[in-house]
Amino acid sequence: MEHIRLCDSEYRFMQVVWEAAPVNSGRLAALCRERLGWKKSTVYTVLKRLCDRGLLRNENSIVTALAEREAVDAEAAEDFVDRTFGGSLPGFLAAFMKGRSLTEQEAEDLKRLIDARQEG
Amino acid sequence: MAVLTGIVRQLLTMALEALPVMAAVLLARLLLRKAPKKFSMVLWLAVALRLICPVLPESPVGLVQTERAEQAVSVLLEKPQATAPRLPVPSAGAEESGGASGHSAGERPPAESAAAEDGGWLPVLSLLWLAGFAAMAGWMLLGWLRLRRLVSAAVRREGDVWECDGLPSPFVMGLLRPRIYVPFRLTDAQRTCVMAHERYHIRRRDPWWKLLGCGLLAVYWWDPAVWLCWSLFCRDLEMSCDEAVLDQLGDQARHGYSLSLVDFAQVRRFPAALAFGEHDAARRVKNVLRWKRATPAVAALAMAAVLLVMSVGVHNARAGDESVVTLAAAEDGGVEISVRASEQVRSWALLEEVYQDGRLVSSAYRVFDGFADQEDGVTERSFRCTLRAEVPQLADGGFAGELAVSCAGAAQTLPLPHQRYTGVGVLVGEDDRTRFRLKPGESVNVCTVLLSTGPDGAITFSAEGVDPAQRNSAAVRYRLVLSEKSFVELEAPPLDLAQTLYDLRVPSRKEMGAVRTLADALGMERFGLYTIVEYEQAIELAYFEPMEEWEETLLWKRAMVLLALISDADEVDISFPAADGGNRYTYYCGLEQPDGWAQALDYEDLKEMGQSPQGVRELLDYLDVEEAEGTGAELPEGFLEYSDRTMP
Repeated sequence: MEHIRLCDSEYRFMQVVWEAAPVNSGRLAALCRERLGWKKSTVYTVLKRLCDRGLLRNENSIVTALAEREAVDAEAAEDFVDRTFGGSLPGFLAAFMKGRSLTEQEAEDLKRLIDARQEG
Repeated sequence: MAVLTGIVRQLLTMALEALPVMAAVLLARLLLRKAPKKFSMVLWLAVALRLICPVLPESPVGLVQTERAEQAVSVLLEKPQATAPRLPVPSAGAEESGGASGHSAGERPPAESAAAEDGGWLPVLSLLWLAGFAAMAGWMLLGWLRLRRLVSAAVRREGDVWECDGLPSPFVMGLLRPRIYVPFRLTDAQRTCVMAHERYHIRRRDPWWKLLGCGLLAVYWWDPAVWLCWSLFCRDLEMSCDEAVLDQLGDQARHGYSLSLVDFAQVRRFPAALAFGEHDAARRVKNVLRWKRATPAVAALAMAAVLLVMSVGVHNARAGDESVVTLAAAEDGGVEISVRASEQVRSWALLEEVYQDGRLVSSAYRVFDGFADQEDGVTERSFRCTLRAEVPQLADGGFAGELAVSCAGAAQTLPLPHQRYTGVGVLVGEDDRTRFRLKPGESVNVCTVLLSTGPDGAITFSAEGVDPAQRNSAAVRYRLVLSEKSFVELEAPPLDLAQTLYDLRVPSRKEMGAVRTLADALGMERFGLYTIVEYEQAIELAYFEPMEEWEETLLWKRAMVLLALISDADEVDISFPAADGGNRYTYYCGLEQPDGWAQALDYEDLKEMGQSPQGVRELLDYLDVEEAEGTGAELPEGFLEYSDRTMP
């Protein structure tokens, strides 16, 4: 099976499923509420998404895991930010309100400054 | 619409009023840049208060001059031909009209639409503002909803701390039960820094302050100064949080903390909320590196500076000796006068001025009151009263020649110069303003009743550079005078006959109407009926009745004054029949003799004396023409001074 990458929250959700599967979806929602602090609607949204991707199956309200624990990796979803918010704010407003993010070079300079201070 | 334009006008005024406070805060921030940021943060409270509260206390240390802001807004919004606030004239039997501005018998003055009264730009601006406000509010709401969607799949870590995918930096969200959202996979060192920072945000109720700021931003979306303040406020907020964390974690945390800042600032930002790594990371890092615990001395100094700026910014300016007068149109047609008198003021009074055909014919105090002296312990220096001035309407649609005046329980009927009027209008305040600051001894127009005798009853409400009271058939004006004298010492200012005559001077003797007005201002009518005849280079006042001997002298002196004030007349003649009905006597007054007096008084000739109020004054003095003689023209019977009245 191909290696599957998930964002952290999805991975946490999968962990709940692996432990309990096969599990009734109502029971799963209760578990997630307890373990993750999720609302029912969030549980079903993520469940649906993972079913669509073929990692889980939800039949007759029974959820079973299709993907093996070993085949799944979690990773930080950096591009998620851009997908959600990129371009949604008028550029100049965002710039005015938030300043801008640091470039590599600026970050390096700052780190050097911090280190210099540390040593001094 | 009226509510909307009212709001926008108020917002404009407050934005203008806030400008000096913003400047003061910026300056203070500059001076405090080395001090802990919590001090500069407090300063923004003054700006917020300015932007929120339409009314703020007054004090001599106050920085903001509200009148100037109000006036500037008026100038900004009003069309050039803006009109003063007017009142419908309440009169018995007249049909009452809500917003009409003065009315005349038979015909109303040109109706003015509500839009015109609001001033040209205001309605358009108001709609623009509303659209912008809705857009800003919508945009903020959208940002909030997106953020909520993002954190819906956040996983609870412990208590109020949630881990969430896709966060560029940690932040706090929620007002009543704020939650801290952090990215997954923080190192322990990072988490320690972040939690200390975010917990401090929560402890200080920063989400609420941010909400307040966002609200102001939505309302003042059009004001770049507010945007600038918002941006600086956010920076101060974060920096003061950073400092609080260092204060708490100690100096050894400095290194890790500043590195965390850099880490979080490298990821793309996202909107709203309170974020750990936001706002000028470079500045914040430098601030963190520079930070040291404030010594008590620095703290005390910064505290003093903040207190100073706060008190200066929050208060409206008011010099110690200034009194504040506010005028408002009362619902039933009167003018409500509110006064807060300064310590120096010992009495107030209403000065009544009557104008007839453009000239001031009487001036007298009507209603008096004094303030109790300090020693008596009674120092109520605020008072409120309503002045009502009504001209009764006649059965035929015209208006009676009398004015019913009442103020604070005192009522009187004032006979007016003419018997009957065709139109009446009222102006409230002066210069389109209704709020004034007066030094002791200064006065302000409370209301001016304008009267017309013309066939169409038209009233002139505004005239370029000329007092409207001088541009109507008659006018009665009430001025509020605040005086350092006690009310028993108050004396009506003497009428300036010289100035009046100078104002009425005539360039050409052919302007018979103007010549008659000038002659009447000199009191020529009191000597009997006369007609004016114009000759080559000369004017003759021909009386129909014989004169007493003492009257002849007075007439002759006045003829000299006329000669000075009618530019192209070389001679003014006065003629009247002899007592036995036989011959007519004529006084021929030429320039030769008076030019001699003029030269004795250091003038070139008589005509030059007529070319300045001072010259006229000197001529009157020289001829001993008394003001009282000249000013009593056509005073109707029963025109008596009111007795002193004191307020209940």
